[in-house]
Amino acid sequence: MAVVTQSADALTDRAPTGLESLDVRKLGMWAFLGSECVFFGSLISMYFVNRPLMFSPALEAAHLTPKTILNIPFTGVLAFILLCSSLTMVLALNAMQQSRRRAGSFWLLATAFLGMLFLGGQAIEFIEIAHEGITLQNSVFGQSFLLLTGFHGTHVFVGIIWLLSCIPRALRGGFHAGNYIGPEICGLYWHFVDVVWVVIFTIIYLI
Amino acid sequence: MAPGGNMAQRDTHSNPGVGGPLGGHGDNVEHASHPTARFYVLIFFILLAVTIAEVFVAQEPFLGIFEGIGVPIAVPLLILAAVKFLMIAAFYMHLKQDSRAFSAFLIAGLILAMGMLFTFGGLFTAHSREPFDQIAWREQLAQNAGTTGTSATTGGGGH
Amino acid sequence: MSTAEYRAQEGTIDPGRIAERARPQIVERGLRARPGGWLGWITSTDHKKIGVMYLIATFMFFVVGGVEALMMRLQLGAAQNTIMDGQTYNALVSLHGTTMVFLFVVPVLAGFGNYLVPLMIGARDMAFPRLNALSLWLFVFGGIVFYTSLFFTPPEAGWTSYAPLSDDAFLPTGGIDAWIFLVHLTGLSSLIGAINFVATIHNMRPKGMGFGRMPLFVWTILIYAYLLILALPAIAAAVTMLLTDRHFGTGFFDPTAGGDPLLWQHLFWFFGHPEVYILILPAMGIVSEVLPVFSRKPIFGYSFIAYSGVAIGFLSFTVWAHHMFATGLGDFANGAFATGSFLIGVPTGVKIFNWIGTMWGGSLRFKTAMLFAVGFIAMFIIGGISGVSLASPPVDFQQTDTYYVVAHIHYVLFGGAIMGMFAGMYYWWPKMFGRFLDEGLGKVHFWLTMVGFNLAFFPMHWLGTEGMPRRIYTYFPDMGWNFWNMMSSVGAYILGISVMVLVGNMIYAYRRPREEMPDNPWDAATLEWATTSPPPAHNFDAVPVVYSRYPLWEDRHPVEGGQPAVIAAAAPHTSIDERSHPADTQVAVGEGESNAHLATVEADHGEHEAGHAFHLPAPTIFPMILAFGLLLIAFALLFSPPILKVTFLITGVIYFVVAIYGWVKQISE
Repeated sequence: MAVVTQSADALTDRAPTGLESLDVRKLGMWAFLGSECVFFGSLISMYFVNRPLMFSPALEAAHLTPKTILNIPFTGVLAFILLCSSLTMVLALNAMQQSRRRAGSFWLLATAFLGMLFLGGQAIEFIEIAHEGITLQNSVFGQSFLLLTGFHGTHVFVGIIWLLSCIPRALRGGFHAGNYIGPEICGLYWHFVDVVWVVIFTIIYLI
Repeated sequence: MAPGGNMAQRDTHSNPGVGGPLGGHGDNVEHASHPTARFYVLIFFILLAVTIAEVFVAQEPFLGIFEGIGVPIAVPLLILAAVKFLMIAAFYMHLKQDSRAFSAFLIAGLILAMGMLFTFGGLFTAHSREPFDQIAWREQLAQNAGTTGTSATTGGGGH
Repeated sequence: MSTAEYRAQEGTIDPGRIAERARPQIVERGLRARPGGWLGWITSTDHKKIGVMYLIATFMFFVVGGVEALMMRLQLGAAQNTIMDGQTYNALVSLHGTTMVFLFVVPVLAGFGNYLVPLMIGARDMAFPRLNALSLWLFVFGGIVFYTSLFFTPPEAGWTSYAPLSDDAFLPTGGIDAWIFLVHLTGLSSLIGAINFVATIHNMRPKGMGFGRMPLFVWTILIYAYLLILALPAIAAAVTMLLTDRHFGTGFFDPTAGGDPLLWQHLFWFFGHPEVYILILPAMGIVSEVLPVFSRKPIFGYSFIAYSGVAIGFLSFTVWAHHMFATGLGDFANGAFATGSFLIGVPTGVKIFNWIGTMWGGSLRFKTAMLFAVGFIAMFIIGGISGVSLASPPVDFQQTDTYYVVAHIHYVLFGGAIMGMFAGMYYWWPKMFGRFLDEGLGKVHFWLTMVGFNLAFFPMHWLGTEGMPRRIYTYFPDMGWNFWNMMSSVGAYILGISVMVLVGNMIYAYRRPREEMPDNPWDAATLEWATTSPPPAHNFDAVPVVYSRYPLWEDRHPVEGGQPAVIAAAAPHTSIDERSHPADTQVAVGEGESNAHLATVEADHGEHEAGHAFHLPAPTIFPMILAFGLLLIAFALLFSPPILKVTFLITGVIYFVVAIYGWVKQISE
């Protein structure tokens, strides 16, 4: 008799029916990233709309404009760290596509470590800004900046958890040339977080 | 239990049921060959060079030069950012060799986000906002905090 | 009359056709014991059970929202009524609007989509069955968070929660926080659901079903999903800012802290206007499914209906500020947004003419489903016309925040979305539950709805033009508004009775002895009617191959040009004659040759698993636990006693982490 089975395997849920040609999980991830674009777009729009209020002669005199508060070389280093983490992420994926278990796990771990380094840097930055007398409550710049970069930091945090959760399976050799969709999707998310930082770095820090 | 190892990338198979006249999909078969590690490192160095260029463009000598020729500093910076963005999306996120359906999601999101940014920018410069003296407000806040010991702007939260 | 009878009558019976082929003959065997009873429902990952749970939950919220509306109409029935005070009325306005938009119309369409999309495209389930369960439970718990506010202070700022009214300076109580968490949780639910729909529709259609052959309901669900994915994050960002404004001392929307209330309005309507098309498009899809079946004709202008939906989707992102003409955007912006709003009337009109064209010359059968579909068209035209008038800034300056706007939104959302939903209910009920809803009661329901609806909402146009503002809890007797307010209240109660008739009809259908339900009682054309009523867990034995837009009508409406060329190119080794007959699929697994038919079918997909015919997702409790964890975390932010806060937060986080861990473990097992 033909048997109807049930299984918790992630793949078999999607009984192939015909037109299927894309990986649904990748498709779902990209749909989610499209949504995230609009989410960060909303936050960046908020920053942009508030930006005129962050500059005035009086604020300039009190050294309270973003230009005087933000430390561009320091965040330049943060941008560099995140860029490196993107490289280690693709290298991890590349190693797994060639079934190199140890290399793949190492690069995943390196990515997570760089992510933590980035978060640490961001924490230092937030503390420095607080020392300048800028908080969520008392500055238009403060609230706009902290919400936007805070949400980016939250995304980095989620990404780190995700990366770390991939590592046990990577060490067991669970990802190989025949199956690397997990780290690939995680990588998409991670690169997206990097790309958001590229935009934030330009719009908040440099311009 | 299903064979768990049977997760061979479905998108690397060229599915005979899809190509051709079945509608809309076009070229959505991923190339089986992946870029090499060397290629990724090369991209990284280009990205790094662009990042360094960004930091320098935003600093004094270049800042003055661009202002001198009448170009707002935002223009070169946004171009450099766009270059980085596109390179990461195309090469690290594999949009170049993946299905165009994936790019469509990113592009749709980007168009909306940028549309929102520019429209809001236009709308908010057009409408007159209440003049707001941030310095006086900060002093007021500091005073309130000194007298009551709590922040004046936070009300009583939940029930 | 069943399909077979119909075909026998026509003399064109074709035993090799899809209906017979896809009809399940296989009894589920060899299963691990599925949990039965209520546990089987709440752990289900079956899209049909999830769809039904969506429909039940949303219907409950519909009744609750309706009762709130009736209480408001009781207060407004007479001038200077004292049944309730202003605060209660404000709470009712907020509860009613929010319930109907976030807890009824959006999720009810998700429910229909969940149940029907996989069936219509010949798939076994949604692309992500467990995420599907998660969206259901996020929606249910979002509703619960919202309604807990009844036990302390309900929100009082309307469904739009305009800042700064919704800020802590004016409404420090927890109702607005409950509203924020509702938006977060149901938003997350809709986002996950939408991603699921997109993945399912893009990837899991059967052979032969290109975009040009998809049922129109699937088209509209696809657009609905895209709109949700792209519009929801705007409100997610906005309510997050509102939350930090209320609790962490920021001032994004507070002018005294450098913020700007208009930012809230822009972000809200950037989501809010696509949202109204999210609400109406799938209802249009339902109508596009019902009309051809009961007109005995293929839909007129299929491509126009499909692509006008896409056009509406695009344009819906360019019109949001027409809700804000009166805020002083400036002439240029007013003109631009007015243009977009007028433009969106064009694809809408295209759809309406196509529906009329579908009925024109058809042999109409006025079953209840058809009556509601026709009612939808008529009511939606009225709502559309008042919408076009509101799109003009000079007119809008007069009508802003008057009952004219209330009339408009109820014509498009009740006369539109809900009428379409009723049509879908009567149409698909036999498929979902294997019983008909009673036609006699259905007709009573329809006519009571029409009379009550028009009596309740049409006078609001006049009240609005006479200047009656919306959201007021009472008015003076000498304003000239008394009579029509009275009539409106009477109409509202007639509507209430009509919903009671519907409930009676459901109970009657449930208690009636079960009859043998044919697969295709309406003689419809789409794939969901090719399987049994109700369908088995795996939907179809053999995944059907689709040759035209009307797979079950192929004998009457042959593929244009007479050549099913597409299939020949798509699946060279699966011609229709080689495909297995259902009876043949009842072969023992592993019996070599006799399983060859199935192997042929499965091998096409590059993924042939020897030994298993169908895989269905296993039941799981973790999506529900995860959503429950988020509910507790929301409670932690909602209740102020520290001990409650800490308890809720810790237990919530524990539930959340355990659920994620269990979920991941279950997948990788």
